[in-house]
Amino acid sequence: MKLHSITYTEYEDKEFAWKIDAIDFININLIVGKNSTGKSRVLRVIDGLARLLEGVRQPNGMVTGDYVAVFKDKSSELVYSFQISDMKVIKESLAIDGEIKLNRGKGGKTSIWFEQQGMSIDVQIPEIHLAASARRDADQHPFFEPLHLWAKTVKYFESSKLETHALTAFEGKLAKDAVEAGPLNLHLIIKSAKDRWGRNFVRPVINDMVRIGYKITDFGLAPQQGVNLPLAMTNAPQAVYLLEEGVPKKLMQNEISTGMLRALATLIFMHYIRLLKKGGIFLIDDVGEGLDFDRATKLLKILIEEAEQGFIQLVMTTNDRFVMNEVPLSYWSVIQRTAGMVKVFNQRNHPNEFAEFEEYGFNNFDFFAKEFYSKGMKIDK
Amino acid sequence: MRKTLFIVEGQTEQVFVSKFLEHLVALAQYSLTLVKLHGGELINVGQRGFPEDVATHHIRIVDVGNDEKVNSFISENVEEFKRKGFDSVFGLRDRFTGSSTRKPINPEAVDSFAKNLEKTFDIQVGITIAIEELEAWFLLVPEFFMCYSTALTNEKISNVLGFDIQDTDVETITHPAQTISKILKSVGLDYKKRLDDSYKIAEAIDYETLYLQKTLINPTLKKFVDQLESALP
Repeated sequence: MKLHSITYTEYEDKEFAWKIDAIDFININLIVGKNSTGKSRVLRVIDGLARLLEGVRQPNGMVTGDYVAVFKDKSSELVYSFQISDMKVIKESLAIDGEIKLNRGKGGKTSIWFEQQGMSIDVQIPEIHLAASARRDADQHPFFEPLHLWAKTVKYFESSKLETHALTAFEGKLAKDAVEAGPLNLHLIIKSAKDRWGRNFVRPVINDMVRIGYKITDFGLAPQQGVNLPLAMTNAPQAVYLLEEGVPKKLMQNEISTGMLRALATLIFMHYIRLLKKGGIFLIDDVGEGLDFDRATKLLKILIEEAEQGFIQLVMTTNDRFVMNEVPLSYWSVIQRTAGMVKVFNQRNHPNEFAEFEEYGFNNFDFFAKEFYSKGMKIDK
Repeated sequence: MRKTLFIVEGQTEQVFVSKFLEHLVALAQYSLTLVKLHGGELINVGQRGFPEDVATHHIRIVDVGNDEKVNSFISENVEEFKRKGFDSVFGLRDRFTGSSTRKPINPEAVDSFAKNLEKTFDIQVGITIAIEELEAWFLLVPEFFMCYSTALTNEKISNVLGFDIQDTDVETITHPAQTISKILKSVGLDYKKRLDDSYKIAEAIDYETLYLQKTLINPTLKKFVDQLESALP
């Protein structure tokens, strides 16, 4: 099941309200927009939905939030919505192909479908919990399961927040399920993936790094020298290392250039998600940032090739001209914010503007920079 | 001094335009500069003709690296071109975008874009869309194949292609560069669009025939030549 669209509103009726109306997703998505329109926020909204479903995040940690998420697979459509106000769930519903399975109002009063009884029964659910999370029961409420499976596969990578000085001290055996369920952590994933898949994980990452112009021959985790350990810590903290062709020394994480480390992390996460074979959605904020033209375009090519095979749904954001020029317009969603309202322009909802632009033979970047997506070409003919 | 700027999509186009111009303005006191756009920087890659300080006409040919950049580069910099004293800006790009998903370029749309720039910035702007690739124009004068091998007679070329190139409308050939490659492969050679390929063909082209005869039968070449003539002395 794949995410088809999301409508999200927060702080409705307030002057700092933010609403994005039905942003739809295909297999490969590049979200483009000026600074502070909310590109990264779209990714956080998707990730936030997943974490709420998993129960990692609770509604009582949110002041407001109104979600309508539509999921689709080949044969059916699932619409899940909820509204949080003052840290309480005041509305929640779920329908599969129009058939209502969950309907919840204020005060926690909920009508929910029980599979074994073959009927909807009124129950009371604490207002601080989502029914989809609190009432998970594969026998009685199997309609929640696709949501949970989806939530588990949502992987969010904020490339600009990757820390060059991060260290991890491993104590005991790493639980692969915990790594799978958790947020993308570069160190945990390198360790877990190398243990599980060995060369089948390492080789493709190296090959792709070489493809984008970084001639590395190996990578992994190694103890970071020169770190003072607390007395209770028995294992030395580790960081990423890599070996470059012709360089007889391990290059440690804090010595790797920001762009190179981001590219490495992007490829590590991509191959990790691929090898999990669970599908999923890979959210990459500021994709290609810190890379030069040649490397940014090659990295994008690799990501798109992978997503075109259909194993990963890719949602990326960018402000980068190189990235925009590399990604076909059919994958674009341009977002434009007016006050708190965010409008989405893509080939599905503005086919004429997109088709007309291509006839003029410009760089894709001009479509964004000159705002042709909303104005059309407006050239006297 | 009159100043003319050409924005082209690759080195083959740059070499072709410079050679064509050298033939066309042979008697004029011109200076010609070849420039390459690389990583956002303009780098001088060649100089021909008279020194700039004695020339009466300065021509600059900028290779911007890919098709989509031609129109974008003109659009982004037209004001700057005007400020620097250029009287005319000409773009030359292929109609073929290299993408099966992208809509083909519409020459009428591109003309309207050029006219709009002319009107707004008071500078002559013309963009020619070579159909499908610039190499189609090379095929108008196939005698250049002799510079690769004397075995590549018209008869041999017709046998390789299965049709007579002299009687064919080259604009109906889908991938002219591949057609050149196919012909060269028949004698154990290849066309890889490298700089030496570009120069070899550009040196061997019969520009007089191209200019005087082939413009009568090829509308895109005629459009390109008309634009040159309107700007050159």
